[in-house]
Amino acid sequence: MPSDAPPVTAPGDPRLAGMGHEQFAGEDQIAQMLAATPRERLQWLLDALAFEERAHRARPLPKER
Amino acid sequence: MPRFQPEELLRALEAHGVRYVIIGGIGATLHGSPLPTRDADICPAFDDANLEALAGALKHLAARIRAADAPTGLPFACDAAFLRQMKLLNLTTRFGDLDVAFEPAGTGGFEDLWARAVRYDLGDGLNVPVAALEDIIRSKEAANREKDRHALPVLRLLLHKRGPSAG
Repeated sequence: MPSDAPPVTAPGDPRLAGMGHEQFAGEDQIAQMLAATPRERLQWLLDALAFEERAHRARPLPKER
Repeated sequence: MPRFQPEELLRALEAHGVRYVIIGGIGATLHGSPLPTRDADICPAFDDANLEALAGALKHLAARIRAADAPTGLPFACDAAFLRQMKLLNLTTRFGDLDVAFEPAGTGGFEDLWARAVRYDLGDGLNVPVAALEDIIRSKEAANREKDRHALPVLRLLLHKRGPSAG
């Protein structure tokens, strides 16, 4: 599908069919990965690991009342 | 393919004054889950002012709708009127994938989750609201997708080890 496709303007747009369903969720992200170069895939993994490390250092703040 | 930088996604939401709660895998990671995740999930408030703020943030993030046959995503009408019609949006942005759910499975939406949400300090002035681990588990139980069923035993064990949220 061309990147200059007309914008989606309503939830009934047929291009949104299946959004949120299990199979769709896997397909769109697999397509994204397949379109990427190996270097981009590695960078993605490094980014994910860097965020995970930062998230595990995060501290919960006292609840505001 | 965009970089995966959830902290920049969250920083944009905060900068635009969006009221939201982090749910899903990123939320679980902030609670201490060791499971990997590949997108950020949020539940925003559904009032008009917040939908305007969210639209502003999504424009800033160059958000497009994810689609299996469009690897760079589909453009959409990024305004409050469009967002008001949607219950769920799977987006790709310049900082990675972002799933926006106004009524996550098994929850009553933002107000329900906000009541028990916890703020986490990620450093560099970034404090983000995260749904309670119990609510993330509840949502995954209700969604019951294969990836949720895979994650649930780990999240239940994490809750058991860590103890209930202070609420």
